[in-house]
Amino acid sequence: MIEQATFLGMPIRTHRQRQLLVIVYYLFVLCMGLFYFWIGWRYIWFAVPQMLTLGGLFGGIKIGGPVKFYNDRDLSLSSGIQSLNLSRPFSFIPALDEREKARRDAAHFLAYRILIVSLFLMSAAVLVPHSMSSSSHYTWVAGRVQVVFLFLVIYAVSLPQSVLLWTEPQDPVADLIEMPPSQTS
Amino acid sequence: MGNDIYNRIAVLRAERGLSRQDLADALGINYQTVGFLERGDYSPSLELAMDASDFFNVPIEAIFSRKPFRPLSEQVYGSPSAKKNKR
Repeated sequence: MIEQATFLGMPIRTHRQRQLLVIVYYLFVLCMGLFYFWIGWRYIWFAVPQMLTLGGLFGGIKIGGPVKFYNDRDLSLSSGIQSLNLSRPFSFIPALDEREKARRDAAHFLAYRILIVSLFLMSAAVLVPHSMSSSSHYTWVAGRVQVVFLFLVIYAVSLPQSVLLWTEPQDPVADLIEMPPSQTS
Repeated sequence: MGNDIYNRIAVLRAERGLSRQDLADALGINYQTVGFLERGDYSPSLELAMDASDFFNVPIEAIFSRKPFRPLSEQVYGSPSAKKNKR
């Protein structure tokens, strides 16, 4: 379904476009995270809605987003649920077929493994200053743990979608040109 | 034993004059998945394989195989080398 989707009006038909989207997305999230990390935790409540919107941007919950991990059969939530995604907010989500479900599951598995390594590195980044640096440095880092935590939430929410966008192979051009039935019989 | 599963879905689809979308609708899958199946990039579940067998009305082993299929023309008319030997 990815090739048929658009992201905020931009087509993501080719593999290159999808990879570029992932890079731009994480650069934006990183810049935003660094900005809030720099200005400190006092402004964290300004960051929460922005970060939550960013986290849901790739997938949405039920509607919107280029990567669909759920369909109506799998997600038995009330119909009034609101997507965080801003693109195509009223689009209909077709059910995933078995290949797409297999891709979804593989993406979650890979994302989980990436997340474990990331959590380990993030923990080290917070704990190492505690043991090696001066207490003032640790206090500076500890005062910004909320920002790191918010960044981690976005990272965790968007990672499976990013893995799928990054790894989903592109259909050959020939696949996009269908021969009419009269020419194939 | 290798994990590759070969199939004749592209041949059968073309033979019946169906588009990928037609076949996808009949099997209840996305048309892109038909492309993945035809290229051998995705091995179907037993359920989907049996659905394909029912749809094309041929035995499942006529569609899927662990070994590469010989071209249909070769199966019907024999291989060119065998023809030369006959002469």
